[in-house]
Amino acid sequence: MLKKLRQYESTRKGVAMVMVIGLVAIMMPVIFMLSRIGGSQTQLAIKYHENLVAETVAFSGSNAGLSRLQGNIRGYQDLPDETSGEEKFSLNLRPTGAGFFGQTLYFLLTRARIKTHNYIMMAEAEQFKPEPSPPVLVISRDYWNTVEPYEISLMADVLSMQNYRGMELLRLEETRTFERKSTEQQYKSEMDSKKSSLPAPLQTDWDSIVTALVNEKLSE
Amino acid sequence: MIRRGLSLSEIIIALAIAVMVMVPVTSMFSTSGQQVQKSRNFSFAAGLARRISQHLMAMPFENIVEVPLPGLAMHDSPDDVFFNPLLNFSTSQSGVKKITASDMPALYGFLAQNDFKYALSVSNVSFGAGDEIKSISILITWKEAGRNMIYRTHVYVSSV
Amino acid sequence: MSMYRLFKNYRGRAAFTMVEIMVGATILAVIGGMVAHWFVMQRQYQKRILAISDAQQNIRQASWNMIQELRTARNLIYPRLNADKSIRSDTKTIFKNFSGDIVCYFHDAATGQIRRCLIPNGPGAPVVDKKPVGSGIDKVAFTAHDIGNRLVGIYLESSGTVGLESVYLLNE
Repeated sequence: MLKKLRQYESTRKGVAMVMVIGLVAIMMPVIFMLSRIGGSQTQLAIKYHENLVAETVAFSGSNAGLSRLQGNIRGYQDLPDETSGEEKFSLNLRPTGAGFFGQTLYFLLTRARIKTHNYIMMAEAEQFKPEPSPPVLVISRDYWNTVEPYEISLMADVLSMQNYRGMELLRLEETRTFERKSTEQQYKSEMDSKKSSLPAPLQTDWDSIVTALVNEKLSE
Repeated sequence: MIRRGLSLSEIIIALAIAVMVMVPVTSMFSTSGQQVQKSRNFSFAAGLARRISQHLMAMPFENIVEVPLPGLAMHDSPDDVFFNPLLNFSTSQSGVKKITASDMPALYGFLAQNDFKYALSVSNVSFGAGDEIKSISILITWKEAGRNMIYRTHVYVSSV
Repeated sequence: MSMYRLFKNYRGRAAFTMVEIMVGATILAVIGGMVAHWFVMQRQYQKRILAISDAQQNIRQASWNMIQELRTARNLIYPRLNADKSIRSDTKTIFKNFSGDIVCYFHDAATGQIRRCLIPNGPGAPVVDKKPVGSGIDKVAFTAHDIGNRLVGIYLESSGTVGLESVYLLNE
């Protein structure tokens, strides 16, 4: 009798234990997953914000660099702790030679780093002589960007960026040469020939787009 | 044989334990939901601030002026360079869509519900002799569960 | 005969009575129904939260991918301001990228994707990128805002969540 009672109790305990373990096994992953949804979205939102801020700060840095050139700053400059609002950026002005009108040619590099997010802008700038005094005429062109973590004050990294940017500039030279060397008719014909290979959404307006391209084509 | 069952007190205690476990789990759902809403508003504000910074680049330098707090709303607003009109799928002025309840009800509802506004703080800065650059602080404000929220970004706009 | 033996003979088989079963089943049905209802409600709420989460991330991803290339683009070719200088929007945008080639971002409504097509500015066939620029996007509108074709506004909508962006094209 006692043995049966004990068996009955241990059966009850066993059932209860299984129920508790089953409940925990179901609920714990649900709770864990739920806590992760909110937390992961917050992290993603902050990451996006940091990406945008890094880009905006690097861009601000370029504008600040142009302004400094306009204010007649001259020669090599490595300014790592400039600020845009509450964020820091680095500004590097690297003279590369002289132009036809005696203007100084520069590489204008800015870098913003927000936690693990990098953004670098690289452009060429031409600083003319102040006649008779500042503000100086400054021209900038060919802005290029990267999110790779280069150091803009290190020559090796600058050369690496120059190479990547240079490859894209070589392609730019090819496209510009093609435009210059083609007549309007030849250029139009080449662009029209691409219509059939375009995805359907592009085909509808391609004719007007080709008209705009032909009107703005470079010529010799 | 003595057969033991569950007494009423055992059932009540078990139910009480179950309720005590389920209530925090339920609140976990609503906390996640609130966090998702917060992150949505935050990302939206980040996009708005960036949009304003880009439009500032395209504006004539002398037209960049202060917009003081409490700021301007984007919905039901007169035309400006940043938000209104927002879209136009037609080939003339007659087809423009502004952020109004009739033109863009979903976006209008979201902006009005959270009372999104923008403000600009502009100051002239000079880094050297004769240069000119504007330092602009862009603030986006909105309301979330009765609390005032703010997103700030900063940009330099050159006159070059 | 002992009391125990009498008792044992009287209750020869342990079992539930009909009333006990009915009461137990009723209580189980009520409690089980409440718990099941709770799970169903929470599952629906969870789905709504996940949909908003996914929508946000779709918008962020698409925005960031487009911002990077448009930033160093040279010229916005399509859309452009209307003849009466009003803004003009379309579900596609075409521009010259840093290298002078022609790039198009277009919306594929059937799949909810934003795709990128590179059209060589010279000999060569257009190529559509295998990987989409953005996924899960219900609506997109690219808007020309600037007479100089240097500013493009981006409107994105995904499962009721909206994203507004713009990009100023830096190069010429």
